[in-house]
Amino acid sequence: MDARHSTIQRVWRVDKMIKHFKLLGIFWRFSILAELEYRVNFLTNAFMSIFWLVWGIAGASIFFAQRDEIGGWTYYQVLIVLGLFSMFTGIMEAFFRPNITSMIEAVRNGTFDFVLVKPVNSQFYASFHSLTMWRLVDILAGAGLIGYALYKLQVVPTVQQYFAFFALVLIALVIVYCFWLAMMTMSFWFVKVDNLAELFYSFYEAARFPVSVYGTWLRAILTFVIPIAFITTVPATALIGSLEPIEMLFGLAIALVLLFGTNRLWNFAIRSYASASS
Amino acid sequence: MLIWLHKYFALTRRSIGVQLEYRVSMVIWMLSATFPLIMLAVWLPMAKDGPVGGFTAGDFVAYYLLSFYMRQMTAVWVAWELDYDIRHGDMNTKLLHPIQPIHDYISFNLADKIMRFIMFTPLVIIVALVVPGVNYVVTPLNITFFIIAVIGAWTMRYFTQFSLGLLGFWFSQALVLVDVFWMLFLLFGGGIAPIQLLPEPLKTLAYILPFRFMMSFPIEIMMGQLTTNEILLGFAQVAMWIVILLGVYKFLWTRGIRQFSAFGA
Repeated sequence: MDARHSTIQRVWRVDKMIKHFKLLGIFWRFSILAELEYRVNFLTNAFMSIFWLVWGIAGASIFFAQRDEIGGWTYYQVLIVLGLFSMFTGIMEAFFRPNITSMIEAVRNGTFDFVLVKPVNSQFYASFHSLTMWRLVDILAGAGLIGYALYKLQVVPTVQQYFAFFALVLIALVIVYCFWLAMMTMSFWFVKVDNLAELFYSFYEAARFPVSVYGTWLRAILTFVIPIAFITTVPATALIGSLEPIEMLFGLAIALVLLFGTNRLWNFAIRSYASASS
Repeated sequence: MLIWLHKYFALTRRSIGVQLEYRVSMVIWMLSATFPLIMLAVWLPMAKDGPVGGFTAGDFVAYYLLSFYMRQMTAVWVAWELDYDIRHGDMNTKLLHPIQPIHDYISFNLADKIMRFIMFTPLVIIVALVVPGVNYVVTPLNITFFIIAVIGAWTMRYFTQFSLGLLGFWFSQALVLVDVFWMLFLLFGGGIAPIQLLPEPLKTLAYILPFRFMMSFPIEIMMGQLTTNEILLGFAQVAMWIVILLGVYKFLWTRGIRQFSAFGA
């Protein structure tokens, strides 16, 4: 389709942006309507989200049963990181997982051709057309845990700190999206990409703790190679007031590079894509 | 007995063939077991300023190395197979085979275990020899105890998950219970941290619940934390749990099959 224009160029103009927001509304309304047929899912998912969160808190408390601080972080500070971990799990499961699943199916069955002939940017459609609403519970539960931890810490972040926090969450969203887009793009070449998602999750587990609890070399990997530090640790530092401004700039740079790189990768894949039959 | 061995040999050989076709997936699944390594990476800097709850840095490496090995050697995913087969009707075909379906499922797991054994046993031995401070009790008797405990752990995990998977005959959301089981297993079985380090009341619970025998118990044996009497007492408990789990499996299977043919045909 629009291999000649990059997504960024196309989405950048205001009228285009409004058009894409409207499309998102339509996509998600249909996803929600389809899901409302399976209401039992809501209960089980809500139960599991809470259970996971409690499990994560219990897991963290094991380490704090032995020491008052780990990596210079107190228990409630780590709970903020855990809250962000839960929020981003919810975001990935709600917004990215259903799309990668349907992408794999579409490439395998050859129905991805229908995505390409739609009068909409293929990367935008493939990335966002589906939503698993129930997993939004994880986001709420994570936000609740952050609120609880801030209350226990007796910390009231300033307006600037909140502003930095939301900017960093936005950066983290872009980074996480780029990971998933890269994995989706892989499905053009490898059939069983769902395993890649499992692999990603197994590294994402490291984001349960602030990166400073790890040894030097692992911390470097989690900051520079697989930048998981920017998903949970750095936004948390904004709330507790220990953010280094340089980290914010660095996170922004990583996000932009990844966004540009994965977009180019996607366009390259689309051009070399030859449908399922050949 | 011999004819059974022969049947299992044939089934397992076939399963190895099937699994080799999915080499890439297999490697990725094995690489995905990073969780013990991440937990280790949290403990190690803590253990730098002295032992944590009696565990030195070497002890932590020894513990999580075997924790990783235990997860590989007792990996079970049969509930997902059952869920698929019940939903898509593949169970019908399996029921027509001249052998109980459970043997079919077990053979796939055995094939997987043979390959993991070949891959990970040398790896674990090398790491244990290379990393300083990793001490195991390596006597023929203790290794025999360890092997028995690992087989016990696998049996307990397999039949628990099989029974939970069989609930799929009645509820479409049975896999949620498998997730709950998995989380309890990690917490109380020693998957997150050695159960000796758990805070109360989790620690007391861990020694009452069966999850300890699915991971922690064999590791405790290899690390020399148990007396021979404690090991033998542990085996008695494992045997008791296996008898109970086999009973539950038999019960659910006979009921489930009746239920299945009632709406399947």
